[in-house]
Amino acid sequence: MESNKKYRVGDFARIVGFITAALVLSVLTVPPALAVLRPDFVALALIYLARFHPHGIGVFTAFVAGLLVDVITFGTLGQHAIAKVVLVYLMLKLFSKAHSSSAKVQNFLIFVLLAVNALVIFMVHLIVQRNAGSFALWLSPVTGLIVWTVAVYLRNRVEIYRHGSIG
Amino acid sequence: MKSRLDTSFLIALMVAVVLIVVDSKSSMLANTRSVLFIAVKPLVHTAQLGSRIQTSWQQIAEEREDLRHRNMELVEENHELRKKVIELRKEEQRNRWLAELLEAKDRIEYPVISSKILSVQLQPASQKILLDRGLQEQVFIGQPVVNHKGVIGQITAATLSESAVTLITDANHSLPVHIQRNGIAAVVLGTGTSNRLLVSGLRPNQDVQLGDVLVTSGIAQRFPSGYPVAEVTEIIRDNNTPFAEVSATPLATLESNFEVLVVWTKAPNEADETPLVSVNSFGEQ
Repeated sequence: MESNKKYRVGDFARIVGFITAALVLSVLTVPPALAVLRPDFVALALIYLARFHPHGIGVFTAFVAGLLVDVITFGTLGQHAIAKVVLVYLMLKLFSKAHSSSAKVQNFLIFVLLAVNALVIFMVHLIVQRNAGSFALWLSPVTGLIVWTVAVYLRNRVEIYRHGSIG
Repeated sequence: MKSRLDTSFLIALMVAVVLIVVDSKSSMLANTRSVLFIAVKPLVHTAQLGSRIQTSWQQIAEEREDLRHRNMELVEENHELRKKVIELRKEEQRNRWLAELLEAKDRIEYPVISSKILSVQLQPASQKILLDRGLQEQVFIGQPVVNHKGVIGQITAATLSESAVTLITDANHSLPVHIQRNGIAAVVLGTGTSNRLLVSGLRPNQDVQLGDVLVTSGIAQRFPSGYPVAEVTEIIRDNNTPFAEVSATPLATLESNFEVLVVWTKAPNEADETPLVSVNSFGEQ
């Protein structure tokens, strides 16, 4: 019981850390040319947590993270929340089956998930605001996949360094 | 039967849809947004930290650059001012020199003209200066050149607009003088160095002292009589030799001359064209 509690505290801290960092990166002041290429860091953080640390991550976490994105970006409340809920739900469903798939398949699934995330945000934007929003939204799955590939590569290197094999 | 994930998903989805509808149709969630924003405000500040640091750094860099420019301008300005000060000091010195020269001009009873020194050639073999006055000003060979301190030399060559003056320190120059204090006659000979003259013709027992001023004798009526030439600085008396070895320093400071006076002790047509040195061409002896 005690060890289970410690494990949950560690999980919670990891989730808070990842989401906080992703939120900061989402509003980090960068030159306009780079801002267009900015991936959806919160979506990436949720995918990363769901993929490598699924304990403690769920649709509620995704909802809160999405809601905080809506607050921090002054968007319609619920817009990112619904997208992140859908994202994490699909992630948990898909990766429970595709866990042992090749890296290419997994990367493809990540891209699809990021595209679904962008599609949901686009649709809500279209319905609520009556416009298509920024073109940068459709770039975010591509840049997100690049960042994801780099992040996974770095994680694997760290795991090899720490344990001698990918954990 | 639905799993817990499906149930949570449906609930979260419905809550999100409700939020979207309510937030887009009314301002009911404005307070909720404000409260939530307080929670994320530190993150916004953190995200802006980089750009703030960059802005501050840019400001510092700009200020630094401004200061550097200003400093360079001030250095340049200072340099210009120093140059002006040096020029003013030179001008002041020149003015003083001219004033003294003017006084000397009044003391000399002969006609004079002032002349600028174009170049100075002080070498052991030849001690000469070049003046900007020549034959067109009726300058003639053998004409004395002085300044307010004393005799400088005599013209030994001339062109239409320039003339060469052999200084009294030239090794081939000789000038009849007498001691101002007692009138004893002697001859001042150049040594080839700009600060030393030899005084010949004084016997060991004759009355000559350190500091005695030697003045022109005016014997050949070439130099104005009684004009200062040199000051005795060294006397070596040896009764076994017929003459004492006497050294003197020229009174006219030749190196720092700005302008000199060319003196007409004779009319140009009366000039005998024979200087007190042997000269066969311009500047060559």
